[in-house]
Amino acid sequence: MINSLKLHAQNIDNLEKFINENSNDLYKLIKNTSRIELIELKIDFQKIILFNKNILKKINTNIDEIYKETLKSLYSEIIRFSSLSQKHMTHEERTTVGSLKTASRKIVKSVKEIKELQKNINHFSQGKNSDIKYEYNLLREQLAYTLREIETLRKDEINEIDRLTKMETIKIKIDEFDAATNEKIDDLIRTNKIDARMATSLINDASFASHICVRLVEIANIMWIDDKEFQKIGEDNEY
Amino acid sequence: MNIKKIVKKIDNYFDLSQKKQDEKKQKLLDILEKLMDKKLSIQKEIKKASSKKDKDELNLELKAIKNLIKKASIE
Repeated sequence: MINSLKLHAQNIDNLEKFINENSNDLYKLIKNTSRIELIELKIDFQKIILFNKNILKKINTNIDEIYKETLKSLYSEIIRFSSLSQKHMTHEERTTVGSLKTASRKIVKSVKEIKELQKNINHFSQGKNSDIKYEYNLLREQLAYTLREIETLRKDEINEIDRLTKMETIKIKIDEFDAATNEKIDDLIRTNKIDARMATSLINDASFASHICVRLVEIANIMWIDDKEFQKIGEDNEY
Repeated sequence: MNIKKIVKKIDNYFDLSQKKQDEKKQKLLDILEKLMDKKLSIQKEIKKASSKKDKDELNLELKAIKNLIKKASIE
């Protein structure tokens, strides 16, 4: 294990590269779950998500397999490497490694929640209740929106203030989306459009979706904001 | 942000050497200045904006900047 650690993670740059690869896996999973083509999104977000034929197809991505074969081993090596090497690091380096470890933990947590979400999206998208189907499509819309905005953020050559502002804007949007979803769920329960079991699943999944979105922004904050002070302003550490 | 986090931040700040404390303070003041400049420029843009869509987008950005100023002040 130590040999492979030396081979794969000789310095913090490599660690950063690993986490970037891990976050790419997470993006792919979310993209798959939301089933949205990012280019299409630019045309008409709402229409595409509600009328895309693929949306009703079952999602067959095996998240357990991806987790066990790629993420778990990488995550273990990242944790082991950073724990072993931290005693030889300066305070600044330890802070950097600490942030990178946080990013990895957030990636793993999100992958686990994506699995729960995928299960219910598959279940309710095949069902007969159009109201719950619609609500789950909105959750996909939330994931797709965050993913699209973060992709733009990653590609755009902008300064740290603008990047930080954009991230904060995404967080506000996620909050608004979350509040709207909760209000909608209350209404659906009151009008008997969904039963108690559906409501519980939807409440849990809505919270999973918004946690995943916030975490995506936080991972982006760790990976793409270089200045430590800017990074601290952008972090929330709530999830 | 909860009290525990604020206390931890204060502890961390006073654990730094005087030189590092001054550097951090200056850095945060610079960031706050940049954020205030951005806030002013957005406010000007809002006044000029003609469509509702543009105004909404700018207002969202303004809200984000205000949040960041709050966070930077706590730092």
